[in-house]
Amino acid sequence: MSFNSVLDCVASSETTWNNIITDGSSTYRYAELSVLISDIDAFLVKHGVTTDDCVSIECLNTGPCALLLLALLRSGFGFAMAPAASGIGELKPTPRFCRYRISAVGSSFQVDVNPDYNGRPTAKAKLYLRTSGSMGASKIVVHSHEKLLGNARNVVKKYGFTSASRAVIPVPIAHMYGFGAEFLPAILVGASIDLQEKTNLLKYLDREKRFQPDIAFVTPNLCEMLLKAFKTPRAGYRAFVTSGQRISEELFRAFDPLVSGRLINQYGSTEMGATAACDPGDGLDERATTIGRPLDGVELRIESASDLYCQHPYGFEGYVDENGEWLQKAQEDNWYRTGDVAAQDGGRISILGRADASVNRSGYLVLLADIERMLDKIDGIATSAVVAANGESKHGESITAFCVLLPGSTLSGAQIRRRCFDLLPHYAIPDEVHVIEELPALPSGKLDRQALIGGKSWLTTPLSS
Amino acid sequence: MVDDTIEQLKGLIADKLDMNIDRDSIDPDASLLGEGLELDSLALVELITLSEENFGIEFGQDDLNMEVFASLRSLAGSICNIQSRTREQVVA
Repeated sequence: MSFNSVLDCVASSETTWNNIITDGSSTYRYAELSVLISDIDAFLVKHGVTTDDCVSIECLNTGPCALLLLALLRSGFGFAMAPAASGIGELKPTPRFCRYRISAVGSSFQVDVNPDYNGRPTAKAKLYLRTSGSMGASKIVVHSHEKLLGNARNVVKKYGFTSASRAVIPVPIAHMYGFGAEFLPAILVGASIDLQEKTNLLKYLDREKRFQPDIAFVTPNLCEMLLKAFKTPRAGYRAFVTSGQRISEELFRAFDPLVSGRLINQYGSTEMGATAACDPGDGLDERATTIGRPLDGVELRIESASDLYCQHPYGFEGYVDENGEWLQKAQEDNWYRTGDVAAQDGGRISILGRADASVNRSGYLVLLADIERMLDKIDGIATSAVVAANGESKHGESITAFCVLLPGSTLSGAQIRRRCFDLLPHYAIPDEVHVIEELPALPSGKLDRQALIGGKSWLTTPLSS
Repeated sequence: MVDDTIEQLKGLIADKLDMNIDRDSIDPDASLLGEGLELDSLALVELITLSEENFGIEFGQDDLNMEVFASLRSLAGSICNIQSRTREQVVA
């Protein structure tokens, strides 16, 4: 079924036409979608934007942006999606293969010609998403609209989305998780949707009261906040899904009773979309410690003791660079290395962490090398090493930085950490910064990260933090 | 009473929240979440916890709303109300 027929179906069916898509201020009924989307089509034509061109959209969790997405999907545009510019996001340029950049202005849109457009022809009906590597050079993931729909159908089946569902989306619809795993599945069945832009716990509570959602896709951070804010357990959720970063078992067990045992840890990625999850009826131990079972058609296997590989019927087509040139094409029967380290106990898989030197913080993949690069720019620092320390901080896995000073520098760990507030996004600021005399080295001369991770007992000089 | 509470809240924000905010720069009428102090969501949760611990209160579900957390002044007013509400319950 094409996206066009999906929209026709949900707009004309008695069970869905009165269902709504809302952002709290703009509200549309499914019955109105066809007319509203045609208005956007006409707007794009007026600005010379056709499906021959790839467009880049700045996508917020708002009603107008949702309509724009639906219009681009219905017409079969090739389009790149980016969240609203803020903080580190501002560093991300519009891909050079996109001829136009469209951003929302109130309830309308602004179309700008991309000054860096390279004139390269692009395929129709594709979605381009940047990988979540938020501080290094990110790659651009290519998906076909057709497979995105396949992914969405898988999610509908997994969580039992129906036309009576009420899906709250507090996570960005500019990312695969919010878009592919919740927005599209909700649209497929004509479910009511509550989009929340820049949510915080007060906004969530307010909108929850009005919208009465029964499906929520959130992050562990939001669970942590709602743990404090849900003063009484909620009985109305059929699925309260968390993903984007690993949720600690402790938080899972504390929060699950507040959503009446409906908390589900979903595993997925920008490349593969929704990949595996427990079912709402599974026992607490299984839900708290494993990623459950793969979705239909998905296969997972662990190689070299702990490397997790995935084969996905609705996975990505490959990576392109800023110019639209293929960096790597995915093969149909290829096993994709997820970059996650996993363990298997019987048929159940648990994710242990990332294989590369990176951590997931507040939903962003943070490369430790990027933090080191920023620290090394601070006057007075000779060199630095950043490690994922054991334990959790409020942003996710803990980060500890060790800095060696230049002669004559008197910086303290606390001073360096304060400087980080100007240099790094908040989620990437190390939880601890220590000044040390020299970095520990292996016999090969390479940095001994394990010594840094393992503890501070090896240090011969007292820490200054 | 409200002014005392505002001063204590300023101290909590400057000294306890990991936000690098200077006490003297805090305007009690500035927005807590929007342009003003720009507390992020995690800082808001910390402020709720710190307020509960520091003032010996517990916010009810209905106290956690945008009006209460609009500014330090509105938050201080609510904290005072909850304190007197709690005292009345104890007396009753």
